[in-house]
Amino acid sequence: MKSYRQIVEEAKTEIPELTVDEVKSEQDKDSDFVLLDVRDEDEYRAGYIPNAVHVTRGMLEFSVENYIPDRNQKVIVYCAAGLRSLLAAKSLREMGYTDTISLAGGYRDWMAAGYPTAQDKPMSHEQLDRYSRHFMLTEVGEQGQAKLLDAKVLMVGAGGLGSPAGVYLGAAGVGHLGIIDSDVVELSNLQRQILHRTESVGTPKVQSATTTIKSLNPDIDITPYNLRLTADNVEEIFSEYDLIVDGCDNFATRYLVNDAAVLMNKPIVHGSIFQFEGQVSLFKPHEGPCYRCMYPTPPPPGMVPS
Amino acid sequence: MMATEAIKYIIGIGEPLIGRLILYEALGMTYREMKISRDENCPLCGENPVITKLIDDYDAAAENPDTFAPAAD
Repeated sequence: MKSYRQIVEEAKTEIPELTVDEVKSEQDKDSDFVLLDVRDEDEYRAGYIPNAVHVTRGMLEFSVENYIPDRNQKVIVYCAAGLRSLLAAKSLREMGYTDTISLAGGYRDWMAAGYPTAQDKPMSHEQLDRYSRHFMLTEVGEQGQAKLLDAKVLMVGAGGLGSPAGVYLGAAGVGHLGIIDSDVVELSNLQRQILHRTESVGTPKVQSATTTIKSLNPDIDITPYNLRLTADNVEEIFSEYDLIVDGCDNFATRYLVNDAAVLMNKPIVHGSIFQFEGQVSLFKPHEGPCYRCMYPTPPPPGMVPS
Repeated sequence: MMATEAIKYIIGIGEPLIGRLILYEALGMTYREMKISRDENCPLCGENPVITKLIDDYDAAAENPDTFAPAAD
């Protein structure tokens, strides 16, 4: 039977250690390594070393590959004081990671040295509960949720395409949603436009969409724009957002959205649908094609049914 | 699918649909993936773009595709 001390001593013979000063200087040199935080959730929440990847010691073997697929990647592991990180680094060696190092003194010494730390925006108890299923997805986690809560997404259109997108984006906790649409809800919309309710017939779609999404998730901010997107207002509106979700229903707006997004360097999630067929893509200006790369000009009027 | 793509992009996970178009057909319940690439002659994002600012009136331009480029200064 081994005592805890023996286990740690054994790990020390196998795993090299670096001091916080050494790790800081590696970081300053832009060396190629991944910093892995193996502390528990509450410790991580209180602050971490910038750019660290967080996988708790308990979940390490199960999910580390999602974060660090390359077994030859240099990994510097840290915990609070440098003991759990030794054991974690040893487990990683057993999994085939070839270059694992433990940070001696851990986060405690890092803080004592006055080196920079980062902290995610603290989440309320309600948020921790509401988004708890996201935290189970290692790819999302609390860091991913923080990104969603900080994101600003503009939905162009609150109709057939905008409805499911808006419901999911709101529920997932995209922190700032803009919704632009100039239409009012009609009875014939309701068979597919799930943002709207029978009692909303005759009211602006953006108002009905805001009410529905807010009742799903009061945790987010929604800015409704009850107007039509035009060349005169597009720049002012787009400038408030990081990502455009284009669910519009006409070519004039589709080209306007595309042109403005390319000129302003904003990515577009593109969707379109006709009867039983739909298409989706992501247009990232200058990294991939834009809508005009595929269709430089719209089809002649009358060629395409609406 | 649009929401999933937006969420992936925001968090920075998975493979974004940049350069790929997913075509979904409900009656046959089929998905197809089409590679789409940048057009170096694209009037907007190509190497020598002719569209360097917004068109004044997109509604009017949509009625007349031949003029679907910015008005001359």
